Amino acid sequence: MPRDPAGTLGRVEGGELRVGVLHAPPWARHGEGEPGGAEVDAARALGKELGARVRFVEGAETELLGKLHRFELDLVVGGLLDPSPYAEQVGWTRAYHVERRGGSEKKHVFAVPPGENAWLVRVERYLDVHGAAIADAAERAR
Amino acid sequence: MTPDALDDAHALPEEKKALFARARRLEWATIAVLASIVVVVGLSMGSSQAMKTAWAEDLLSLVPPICFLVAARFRHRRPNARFPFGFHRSMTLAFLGASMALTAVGALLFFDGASSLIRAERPTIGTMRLFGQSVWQGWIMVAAAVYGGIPPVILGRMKRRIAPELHDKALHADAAMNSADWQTAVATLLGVIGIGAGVWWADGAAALVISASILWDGARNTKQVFADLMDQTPYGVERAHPLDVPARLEDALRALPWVRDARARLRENGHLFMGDVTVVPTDERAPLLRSEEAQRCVRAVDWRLRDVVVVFARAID
Repeated sequence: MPRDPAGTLGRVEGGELRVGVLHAPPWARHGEGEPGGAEVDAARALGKELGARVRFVEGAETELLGKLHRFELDLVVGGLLDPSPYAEQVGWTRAYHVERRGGSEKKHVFAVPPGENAWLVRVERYLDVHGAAIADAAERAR
Repeated sequence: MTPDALDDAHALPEEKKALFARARRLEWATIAVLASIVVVVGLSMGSSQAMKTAWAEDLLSLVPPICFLVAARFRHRRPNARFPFGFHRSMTLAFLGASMALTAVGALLFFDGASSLIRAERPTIGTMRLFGQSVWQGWIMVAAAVYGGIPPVILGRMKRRIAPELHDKALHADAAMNSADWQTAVATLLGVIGIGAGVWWADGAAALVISASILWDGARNTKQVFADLMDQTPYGVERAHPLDVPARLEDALRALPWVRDARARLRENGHLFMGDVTVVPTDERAPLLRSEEAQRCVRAVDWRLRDVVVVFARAID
């Protein structure tokens, strides 16, 4: 418990992790060559932990979150913040990092397919351990 | 011929006054317990539709006790020039508002739940940090649902015992709602455990069941309060049957040596019965003495009889 209605975690483990990447440096960037950035590196490391090949799909927010909503992706990264205008369409992790600048707070999150709770719990456990390191890496790259 | 109007304001026999004070204490306890449940469920509900609906029900369950306590301040006021029949009906009015609110919110939640099921919205529930641990939030919801299901049932049973003795339908309906909270808890549990088992629609289905129970409570209470406001003959609090008070009143009057026939028309006015009796005397002697005797006779039949007007007539039409 919990289990995934669509079996995402079971399919990713030892299989393929499909990651949507938004262009939002220093968190994630695409354009020239392989995508990079702190959150992209985290997705690679998560894939490694799960014994999964990682396939990146580059695109814009509406497009990638739409694919996530239709279970065509397993994860979307790239400077996503809570709250999101797409809050109801997909699932979201807890904030792994809260960025405080001036008076404002930015809560950094990853997006997962809706209702895939075993998968969400797995991603959150990963972020519990590595969240601070992702934030540090992004900060250094700024 | 209504000496009752100036009687003690409570219109409760001495031994029932302590019971009424107990009902008030129980309603205060209900408010405290439900408020704590609203906070606990509210903090843990996440994106579960069942939890959201259960939370709305808990919030709504605060309305009847508040109505009871507000009306309790008015209902015992003495009749005055503007309200010559007193304020006993204030409870019925408070209850009308509460029932309509229940019906409206129940319907709203039902459509909300149905539309989220139709759109196949999958509840996404992740972990929560608790004492340095990541715990799946579903377990916290299970704990909250159990907490929300037990104390109201106990309070409901306690109130249910005293409601018939006070002939208080509002108290009884409130107690019935509390007593049924275990069903909400079970539905919520099934919904959340269903999510955990990967059955995404269990949550929406549980939400529909809970909202249907709110709607049912509202509709039943509204029907009852409408009947009371339509001056329905007195009905029992526990069982929805007409009481035999009018028949017993007629029998008691007919037992007087100078009464040939009697007919009673009664209605409920708050926790009291009011109305009129038409009495056909055997002859026209001693009208004042007989009227007083008839009044004493009325009071002896049932403690709830108040402000009953005695009319002498040649025949009952």
